[in-house]
Amino acid sequence: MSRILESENETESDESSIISTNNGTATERTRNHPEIKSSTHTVQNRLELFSRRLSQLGLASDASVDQQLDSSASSTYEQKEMNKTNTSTAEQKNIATEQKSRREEQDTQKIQIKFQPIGSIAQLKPSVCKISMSQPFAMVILFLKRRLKMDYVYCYINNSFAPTPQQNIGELWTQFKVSDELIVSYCASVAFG
Amino acid sequence: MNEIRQLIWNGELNVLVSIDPSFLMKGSPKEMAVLRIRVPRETYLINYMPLIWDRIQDFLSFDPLNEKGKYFWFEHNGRPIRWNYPVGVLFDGLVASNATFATPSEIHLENAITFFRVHLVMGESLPSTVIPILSSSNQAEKFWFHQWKQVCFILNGSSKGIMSLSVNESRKFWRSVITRNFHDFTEISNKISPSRPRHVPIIIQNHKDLGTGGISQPTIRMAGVNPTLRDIEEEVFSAKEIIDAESYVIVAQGIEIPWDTALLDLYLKFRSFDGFLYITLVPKISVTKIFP
Repeated sequence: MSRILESENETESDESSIISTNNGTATERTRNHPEIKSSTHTVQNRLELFSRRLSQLGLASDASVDQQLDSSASSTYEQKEMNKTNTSTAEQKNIATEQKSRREEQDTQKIQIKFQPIGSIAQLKPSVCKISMSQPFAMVILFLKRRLKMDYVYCYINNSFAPTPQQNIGELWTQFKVSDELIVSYCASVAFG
Repeated sequence: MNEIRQLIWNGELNVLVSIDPSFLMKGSPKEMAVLRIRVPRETYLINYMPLIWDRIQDFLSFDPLNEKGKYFWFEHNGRPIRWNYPVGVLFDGLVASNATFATPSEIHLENAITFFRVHLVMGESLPSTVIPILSSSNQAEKFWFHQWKQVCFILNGSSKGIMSLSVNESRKFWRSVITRNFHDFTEISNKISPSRPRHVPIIIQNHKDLGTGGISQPTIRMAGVNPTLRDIEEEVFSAKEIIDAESYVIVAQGIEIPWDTALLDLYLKFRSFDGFLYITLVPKISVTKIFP
């Protein structure tokens, strides 16, 4: 029991150490310099002084960079609009080039597909495969037909609907993924009418 | 809103279907190979296959419904057309690609009627990306239902909405498309779509390679936001090359849409009969020609 309690204490201390490292340099300093420990207000004052100096230098702290990243990810449409008006034509071209390269990267990226048999049809081994995002869904149908040596295979996404063969796999994955996998069920006959 | 939807629902196009001579026996009258029909924008081309077969059945050189190893598809100016998109969407896409709809003799006429000219052809292999036209009468219905299931999934995060329809309601839903019953269609489609969807089912037609590609289906989140078309510009122009948005207009249901239109509002008013909102990017030059 005491051991459990000890280990709990250990974990507590471990957790606190983790939290402390996450909190940043301030707590670390309090450990290394016990004289500071006595007055937490002094530490706070110093921190405020540092942050003021940093802002004067125009350097951003890690937290603010994180905030920027977060906000860029979830930026509002109004912000986007403001940014658009501010950027010059040259900058817009740069953005477009960046977008182009990002999309090219996305196209070469591979996504995971999990195949699930319905009924008496053979199970694929391995059941998880990787495929390029830029491929149409027709490639998946073709792959299944070849692997199963069948003329007709009926495919469904999330045990629900049959996508058109022209649909892009990357777009299907983005819209319907479950735990970063596109779940494709397959059957030798119509399973979901 | 219902008024706009009804106007869209009633939208029609003049379609001229010409049948390849290889379908017909030698000596068949030429007029039999041409069919002029007024087709709702909100339907599939293959819904007219029974009418086409019926028209030419006495002059057919073979039985197209039971012929093995032969495939049929539609073309426009030698380019395959995907029947699985609504007729209006196909037309808008051809406008975007600067296709000509007038014959050389009509080109100088000011009041010539615009016909969407499609050619029914046959071959031993199907062009890539074209879904084969089957002999079964319910092919379009089955396809359409799966489109709605996908739409329901995008809107709600599951297909429960459409799967919980009774058999009678499902039949009524498809019948409303065939019989052009706007009331029934709206009643059932409203059951499937929530007022605040999670995502918007949107399909974008690009100006390039409309016969074989140029289609994208981006994921547009609606949780907590109500973006305008300009806000989703990046998703709209998903092409790899740099595009100047100012030189393009957005067309939905044959109507030019301002860039500052709210997406949800546009979806609820302009969505197609398969539940998707189809947007076509049309170069400004083509727009002045077709949509003056």
